[in-house]
Amino acid sequence: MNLELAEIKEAFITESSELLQKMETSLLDFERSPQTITDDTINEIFRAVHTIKGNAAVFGFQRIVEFTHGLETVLDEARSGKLNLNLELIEILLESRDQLSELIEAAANETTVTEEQIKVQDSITNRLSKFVKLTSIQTEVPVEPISTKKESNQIRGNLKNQKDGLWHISLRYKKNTFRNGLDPISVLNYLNKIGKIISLHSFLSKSKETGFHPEDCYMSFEFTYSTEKNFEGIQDAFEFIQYDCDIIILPPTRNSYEFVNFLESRTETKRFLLSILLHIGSIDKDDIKEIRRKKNSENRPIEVTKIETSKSIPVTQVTNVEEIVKDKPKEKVEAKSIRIDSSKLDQLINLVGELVISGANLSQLAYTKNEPELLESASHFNRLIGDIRDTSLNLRMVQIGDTFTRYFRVVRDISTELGKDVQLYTSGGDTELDKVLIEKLSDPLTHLVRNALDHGIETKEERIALGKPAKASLYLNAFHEAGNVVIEVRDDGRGIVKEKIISKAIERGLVTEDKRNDLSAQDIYSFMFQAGFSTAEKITNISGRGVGLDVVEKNIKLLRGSIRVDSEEGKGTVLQIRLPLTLAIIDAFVFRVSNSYFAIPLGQVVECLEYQDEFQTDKKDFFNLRGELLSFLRLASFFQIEKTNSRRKNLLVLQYMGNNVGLLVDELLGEQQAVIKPLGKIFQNLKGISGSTILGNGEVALILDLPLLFQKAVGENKSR
Amino acid sequence: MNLAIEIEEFDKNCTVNLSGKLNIYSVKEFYESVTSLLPSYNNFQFNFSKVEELDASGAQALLYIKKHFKSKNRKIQFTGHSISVLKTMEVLGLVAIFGDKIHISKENVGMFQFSYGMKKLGHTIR
Repeated sequence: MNLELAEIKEAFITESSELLQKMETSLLDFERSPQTITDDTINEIFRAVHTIKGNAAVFGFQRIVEFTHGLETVLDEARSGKLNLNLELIEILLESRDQLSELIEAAANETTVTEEQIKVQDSITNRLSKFVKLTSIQTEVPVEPISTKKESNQIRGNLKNQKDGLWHISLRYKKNTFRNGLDPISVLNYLNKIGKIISLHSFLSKSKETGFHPEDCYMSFEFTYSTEKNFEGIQDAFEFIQYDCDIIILPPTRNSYEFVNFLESRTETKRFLLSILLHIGSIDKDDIKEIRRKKNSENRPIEVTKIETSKSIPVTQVTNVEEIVKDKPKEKVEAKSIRIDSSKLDQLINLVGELVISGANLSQLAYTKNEPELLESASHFNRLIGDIRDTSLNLRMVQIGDTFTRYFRVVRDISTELGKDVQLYTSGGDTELDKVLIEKLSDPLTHLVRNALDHGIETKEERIALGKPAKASLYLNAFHEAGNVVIEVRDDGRGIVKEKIISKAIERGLVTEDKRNDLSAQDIYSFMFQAGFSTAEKITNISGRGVGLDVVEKNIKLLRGSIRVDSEEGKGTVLQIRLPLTLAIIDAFVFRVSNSYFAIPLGQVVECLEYQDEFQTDKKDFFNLRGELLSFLRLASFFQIEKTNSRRKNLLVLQYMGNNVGLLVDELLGEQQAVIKPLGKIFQNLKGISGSTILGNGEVALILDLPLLFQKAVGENKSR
Repeated sequence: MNLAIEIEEFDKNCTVNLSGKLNIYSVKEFYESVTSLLPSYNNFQFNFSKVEELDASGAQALLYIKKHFKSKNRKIQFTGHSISVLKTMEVLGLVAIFGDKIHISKENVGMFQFSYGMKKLGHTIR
């Protein structure tokens, strides 16, 4: 397979997974409130399947084509109102969606489909055939859709010409074609050998501005083609010119969507291209109307229709459904954005990182030279760098809404399995988070959701007995708070029974019996994050093995985040994941201890004070700060840095998990943008340091990891 | 030399007689010499009767020259199409685009089908 085809295939896979996601969302919408669903929703599901089928046919993924064909037939019946989409059918369609996803994955990895998958597929097909009579499909690619009913044809937008079985091929040769010794005529001659060019129009695709250079190639062809070959057979004909020519092959089964896409992808004016297509008989006047209609309907903002549907929701359901629908329009807006290879973004961020470092260097120089003009210029420069930094980091920001949407399915499946009735509500889906964070968050979040469903939420009977509404509620919320993003999993289940945890902790020797009453709620909850800790009486295949929360916590700490539990017995539990906005560049506060430089995220600094003797208390690790005790850490002795006789010391007051803590340091160097560089593998297990950064003067500063630092410090104090 | 270009002039009329191969090796020279004639004449006639080869680059140049000369209000006519010129015009569908009269001798008629490219592109699209 050549490189360009691989790229197209990549696009096919990405597009398909997006379509499947859409399909799932629509199906779940349907299941939740069938009465509010309009034809648009069914059409959307149908289009998703249809597009996947069309694309799969292009690549010759026969199994996918066959499978989607059956689905298509069912959905077509449903669309025309002949078949009522009931819950059973939706269940099968959801399974089909999963199956399709696996098939596409298999096709993507070029692995063969396992026997089990074939079995699943057969069983789905069997069950579907109860609803409609499934006709088998010709093995020849491309596939001729079975239904040729007039009205469904219009909706689907098949062009009339498909009965003629003519391919449409569009060629644009690149500038250097002639110089590379290629002659477009020879390709046409070859095509005439393996088939027949029915009608062709040649023209020069060149702009007026560039002038005409006789050795450059401007040759362009649009033609209809008749052949026995399939897509790959035709493509082989272009093997030698694939790098010198931009080829678009539209199969006889093309529909007006594909034509609209085709028109979009060519640089010539639509009017000009359409007149050529009409001239060579690739389309007729009715098709043009169809294409125009399609284009108009595509341009129509989708949000409008969405809002209209939410208006038609019966009053009794308004509160629930509105909340769910709230995030929807955003999703659609996102779909309009452009797709960029994430490695390009990473490259940009790296460059911005370098820029930040040299900016800091410049400031440093300006500061030493102490020339007002240079200082002013440097400060302006740095302000601009700051803006660039923020903007480029923003590029990597992704709304968390899409991730949330996935949980509707998770919650549905698990709650059905457990015999519980749970409704998921999401809010703050438009909260933005670094793409990397979102990807890494998916696993921990799934875990927390599963935990909540399994342990937190009671069964229907229990809930009724307790006087709670039979339908439990699970909330996924996201919001910003003090430079962090908070993601919250909240349930209205039974809550955490503290006594149970304490007993278990004592049993496991994590705490002694006599300390039982000294433990704060947070202390107790922290036991839950110990490896192997579980209070579940029975182990289900969903959770209860005690492997989990510790992994969740570890993963979140790797992202420089923290997790917090709050619970009220009988009322419910809230788990809050707190994450930094980004991983790459932070505003840091830099200070010096002896000859070493350190940095901490600026957001964590509460205040800076000059150290005074009157802070001293009779307790070794506490200061008296304006009448309040402040626990603090001597950084020099903690890191065993050789002491220098610095004249005065400074106290940094930092915020950590809602408490203030102090750090005793030598010199405060102030605020700086810091590009976080990870430490090497050797230092992976280093406690208290999360990374390093290069300062303007070329020195390396270590970035402190407050949670781990204090955990370790507290641990050492206790053991002393 | 691949291509020989011979020019006959009469008042404001000019006939360009080509012989040899009009292909990527000669197209640049051909194009430059032909366009240099543009300011001096009003009517152009190209004679292809001795053209042994016409490749896509040559066809492309003719396509451009025809359009360009017309846009400068010159009359331009292609005549005496040789078999090889016609072959190229057939496969590229250029007969109607060039729009010149074509004479094919009886014995050669069977060589061509001209199954497309015989009608001018209509401008029926709004």
